[in-house]
Amino acid sequence: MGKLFDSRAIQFEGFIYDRDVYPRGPGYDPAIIAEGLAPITEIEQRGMDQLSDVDLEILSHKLTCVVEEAHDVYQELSISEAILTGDMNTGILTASGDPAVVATGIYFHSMLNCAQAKYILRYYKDDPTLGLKDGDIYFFNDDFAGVTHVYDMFTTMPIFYRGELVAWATCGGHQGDTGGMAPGGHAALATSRFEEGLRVPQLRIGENFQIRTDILDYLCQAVRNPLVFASDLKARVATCLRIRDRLVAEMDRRGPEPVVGGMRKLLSRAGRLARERLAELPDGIFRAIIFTDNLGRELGLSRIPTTVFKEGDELTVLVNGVSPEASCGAMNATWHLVRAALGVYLFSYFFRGLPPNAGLLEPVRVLVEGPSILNATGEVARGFGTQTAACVVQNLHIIGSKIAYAGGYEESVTTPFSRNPQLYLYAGENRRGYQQANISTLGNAAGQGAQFDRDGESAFGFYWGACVDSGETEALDSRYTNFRLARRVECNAHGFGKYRGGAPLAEVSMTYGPKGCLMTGAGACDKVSQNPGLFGGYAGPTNPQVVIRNTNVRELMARSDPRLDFDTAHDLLVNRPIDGDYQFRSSSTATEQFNHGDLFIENVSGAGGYGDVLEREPQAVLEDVRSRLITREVAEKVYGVFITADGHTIDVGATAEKRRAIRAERLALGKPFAEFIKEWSRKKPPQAILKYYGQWPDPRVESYDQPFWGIYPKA
Amino acid sequence: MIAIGIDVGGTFTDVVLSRDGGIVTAKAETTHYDLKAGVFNAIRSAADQINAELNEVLSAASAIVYSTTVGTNALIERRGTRLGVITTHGFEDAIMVGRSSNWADGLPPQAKYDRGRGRRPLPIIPRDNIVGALERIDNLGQVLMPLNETHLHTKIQELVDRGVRGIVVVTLNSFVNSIHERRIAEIIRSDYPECYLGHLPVYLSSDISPQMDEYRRAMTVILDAYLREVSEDHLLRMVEDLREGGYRRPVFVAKNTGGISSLSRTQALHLYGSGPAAAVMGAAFLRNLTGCDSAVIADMGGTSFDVGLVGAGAETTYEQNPIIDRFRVQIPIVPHWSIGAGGGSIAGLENGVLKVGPQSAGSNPGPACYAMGGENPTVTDADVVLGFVNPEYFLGGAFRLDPERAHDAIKRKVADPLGLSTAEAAWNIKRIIDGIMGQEIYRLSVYRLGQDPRTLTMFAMGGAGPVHATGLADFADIRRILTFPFSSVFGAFSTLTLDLFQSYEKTLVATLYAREHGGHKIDGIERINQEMRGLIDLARRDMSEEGFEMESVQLKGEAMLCYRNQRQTLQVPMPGLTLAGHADVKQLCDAFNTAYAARYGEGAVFKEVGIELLALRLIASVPTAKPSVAHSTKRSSAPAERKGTRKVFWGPALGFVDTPVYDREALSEGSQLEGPVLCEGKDTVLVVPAGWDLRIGVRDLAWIDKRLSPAAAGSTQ
Repeated sequence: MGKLFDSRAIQFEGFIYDRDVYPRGPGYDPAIIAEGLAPITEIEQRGMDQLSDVDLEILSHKLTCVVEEAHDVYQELSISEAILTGDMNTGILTASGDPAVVATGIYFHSMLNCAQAKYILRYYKDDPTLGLKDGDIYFFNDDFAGVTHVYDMFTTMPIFYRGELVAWATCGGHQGDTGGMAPGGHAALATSRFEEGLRVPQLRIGENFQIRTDILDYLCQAVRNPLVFASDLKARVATCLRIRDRLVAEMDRRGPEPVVGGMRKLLSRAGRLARERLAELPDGIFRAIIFTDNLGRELGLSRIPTTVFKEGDELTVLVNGVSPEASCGAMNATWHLVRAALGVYLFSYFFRGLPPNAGLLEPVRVLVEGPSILNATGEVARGFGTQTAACVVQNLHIIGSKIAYAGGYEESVTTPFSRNPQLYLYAGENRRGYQQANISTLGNAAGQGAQFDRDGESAFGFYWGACVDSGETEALDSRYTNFRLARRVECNAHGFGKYRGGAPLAEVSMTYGPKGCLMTGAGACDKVSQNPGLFGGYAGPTNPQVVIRNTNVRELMARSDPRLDFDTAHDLLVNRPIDGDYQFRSSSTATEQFNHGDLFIENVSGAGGYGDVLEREPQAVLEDVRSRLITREVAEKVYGVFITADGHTIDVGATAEKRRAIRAERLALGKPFAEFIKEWSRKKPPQAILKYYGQWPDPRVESYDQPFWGIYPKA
Repeated sequence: MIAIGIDVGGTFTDVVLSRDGGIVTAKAETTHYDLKAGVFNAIRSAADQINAELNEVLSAASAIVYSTTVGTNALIERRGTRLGVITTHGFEDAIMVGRSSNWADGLPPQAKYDRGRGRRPLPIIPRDNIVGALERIDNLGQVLMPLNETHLHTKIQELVDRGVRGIVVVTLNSFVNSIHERRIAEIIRSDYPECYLGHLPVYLSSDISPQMDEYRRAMTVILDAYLREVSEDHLLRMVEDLREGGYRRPVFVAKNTGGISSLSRTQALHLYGSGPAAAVMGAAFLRNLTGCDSAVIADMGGTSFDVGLVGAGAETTYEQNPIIDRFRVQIPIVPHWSIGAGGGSIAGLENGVLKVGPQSAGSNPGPACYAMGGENPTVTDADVVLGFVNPEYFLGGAFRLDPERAHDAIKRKVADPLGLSTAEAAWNIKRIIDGIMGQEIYRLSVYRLGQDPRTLTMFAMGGAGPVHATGLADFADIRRILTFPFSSVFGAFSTLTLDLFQSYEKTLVATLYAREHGGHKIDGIERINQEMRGLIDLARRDMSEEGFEMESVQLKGEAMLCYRNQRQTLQVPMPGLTLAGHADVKQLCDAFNTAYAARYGEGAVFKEVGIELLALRLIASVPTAKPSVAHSTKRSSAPAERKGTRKVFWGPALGFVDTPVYDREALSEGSQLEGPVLCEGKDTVLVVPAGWDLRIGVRDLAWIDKRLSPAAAGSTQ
């Protein structure tokens, strides 16, 4: 550990920080999951010695071609909505089980589908009932064994060359339904892992390159949509076989040693480059904190603090003082999920420009206090732990942006993509007569973060990864049970700032048909946003679940009533042109029946803003109003910008006056830091929402009366 | 009988005259201020070669086929028509948002992952010019909300007030039921009749692209409408000029669908990328002429590397949802893939490691050796340093290169930082670019064609294609390369190989196989046949306009099939234009299962889940007279005469080796040379390393074959 860490960090006694807190069980071993890159093998070393940088460059391109082709194959063959839209991953692991090359919509998958291969090597390979041979096919989806959550399903196959294990092909993604309590998966209200459905640590489902029919039948029987399950499983096997064929052909061309050596060298090189980048950046201790407000069955606060020690060429992410695990829902995360999730930020932003593979995490140490909501024990539900793990990522994003700004990497300085979680899972019969149960794709139309020099783009992609799309209405209408009435970039739904965050797409959809449909909600941020701003920018707003029951929308539609000429979902909710029972409620809801004409309103909020709102060019504010991104009220009250009655120009005088007034108001509110701390420390939320929080204010220290940063001793 | 093929490119305008005795080729600089000048200069240059006057050639011509980049340029510069869009209310943002992640369409791979700094492309239509109509039709064609005409009038007026000069109408599910789109068109035409100035052309998505998925359908119609005026103006002017020059027959235009048609039967969007599509069809023609099985086009120019594929058999592979500029559309085009590589690809160090491309020095300032201000080392600079390219004889000596600048750039920016000699650094630059290009060819060949690259012939084209062909062939597993003397005008040549061609698509969802309902299903046949008959009527209309009776038109039906609920389809030929019954449905399904197994493996076949038809396609074509590529008049059994020798760096192991240099134009049929050898032509250099043989065959074609060990030779049989 570094000097800063040794002198300033506190790790509470009795907690585990550097691995999953749950013990080894049948089919899983937290010690394996926590292992870093495997030692370099002899054959890898020989191959590495043979490869020049030029050879490695060419090999890297070749392996990328292989996984990109596999990515295309997987998407072409699958029928799960999330796979179709890119929530998936294909990759090649080294023979030891480390992820060397990936093509992905979601980066974190590439670090959550490798511990299983290591487990097979450690415990199954020499088991006389199993062994390991060419043509074996393994399936897994159990978060105990190292994946995200049970809704992500993977297939992996060992690749042999002339009798030697040389690599693993792997592919998988979010498939959805597991036969758990919520049709379509993501049961936010599950309180035990046994309510989350199918759970397979790693199961050999085929030999000799073929899936065993009896096992396929068993797995299909365990879920609600067996045809989708079987279709996607076949797609994954075909994808793994494609990777195998191409890799073997490459070994035929080059020989196996340079290929396996090259894969290992790619990891080593990424690690070296990450260290070099870190060494350029300023040392220090950085902190950020987020609160989550929805624990599944109950609303309540949990505390997710993050401290980063940047020392030399290493980065330590310490998550301590975190709330305990929650037994009232599925928001509990795992150490390995937090670690992998951090990769999403690090690969895309902090280490921007470096080759994205697991080697980049080599100088990054992740310490997550457990048992806690972020490093949970064995029995609680964890299917929606992604939402809690993401809070650490948001913290790291804000911290990383500050480090990058100070270090001169301005293009890495952004607010995060918006991700206030709000999942709607629809189930029922679609209008082509098929049973359907899956998440909507709207989370893939989140706002891009504001940047140091410009606004974020609206409805731009998915928080967790690039190349994930939100679909087209006509196809969605034919595939889903609900029917879309509007998909518009939402008004007043992003973080304001000198540069604003990207706004989300908001969807208004309707239950359609006499059978209606089922809908389950999973989410948070009903009261507290998790889309932070940066350097004074506003956070993106909160977004509770909104449904409108018993509406007259069908009658209005039948006569093409002008009341349906509402502009955005914001306009609908503010002016209520449709009659009905408007319900603003917890994002996490049980599965409910909805009837023909009931409406759903969905969005993941917008990204946070960058910089002070008073520094935003008035002309840009005018353009925001004109393009319906904000209302005049926001322009005036937040930005201090007044627009003339015709809506075309700035009222320069009124604007200057308003901005002067806002600045004066701010100054009047200013006070010495110590005074603020004293006042702030006396505040306390109602006890009702602290039920799962732990001790107030620090969940781990009874009656501790210092704020977050106070738990660290002075240097 | 003379046929004239014209290909207007960014730098040069190429012309090929085809007549009974063979072909004549000519080039002229493209004159961007008035493309006509370049076209006429090139035709005049060709006419000179056959001792004829320009007007004599034009008067005698029986056909002119024209390939133009006018649409491409207009799109890049956003110079199209100012349009408005009427769509379904509530979905006005669909064109801007698309599928969210489609902002990355058309970007190189590394840029696609840079989501923190990614940007959408400049929109074709400002958001203000998109309005919503109160109406809604569901995916089965049922009207849920009738069109509110009062509301519509105000929206049309908004667009008019904004000064739009045409209106695109794209309402949800209009490909199933177009009643609202048609009514909107009636209202616009009634309000702004054609008999008055300022009338508004209306473009209906249900007419132009009756296919599912509103973003792609909208972009198809928008881009077509956007480019229509600028394309039409240009083409009509060109036709007028050609007529003034003496030409009396129709002018045909080359299309990205791999065929030609007259102006009146051509959509503007079909002009985009017509050159590379024509090249694929031209390559298919040459493949048939030379008896090759399958071919891959490797066209390496100064700024780009384009790959095209010609599979075995007569079927052409189409890209169903290609990207045009940064937008995905729904026209099936003959695909080509542009890879960020070319003579101008910049080499440099990134994190201490040598990288080549995808950044390019372009043609201006270009490589360092152009001496036009470029300071970055490029692939062309490496070729000069290695001795492959003769700086005194670049473009036949028309453009002198500065070898010192090439040497200096590589030394400063690559060699010295890596502690290598300049030649070694240049060699590494070549190896990396060859590796990237070769591996991309391998990927496309095995994935898109599903063929073992060892059975492919590589058609090496472009100024740098033959220079790098053998180098990249090793990475692609390709063993045979073909170059030809007219490769530098291959686009123009290819236009003369195209048939008269139209294609029609229609989305239609029908289940063909459902195990739970007793297997093959014939209850959707009548609907399928009805839609196909509708497409045939369109073909009849268009071909009649072209002057052809249906008896002379070849019609081919294709079905887009998938397993139940899949989004990706495979193109399967219909047993007949319509389906007669159970046997036809079974044949179609069997063909799909077979094609699926060939592409994805037997284990992926999953007919139990059900088979669906998602779209129909009809191709109507009329064969045209093809160019005559005459046999060479020169044939010699005598050994070819050397032009000289040059020191060429053949890798660190061999170093600089005195290498024989021959004049490509002086080689005649029957000439054979063993590598290492260079053959310099006016437009390129054939680089033949040790282990490869060069042979000049009939029609002056140059074959470069890898010498195989007996074991390797046997493995492909």
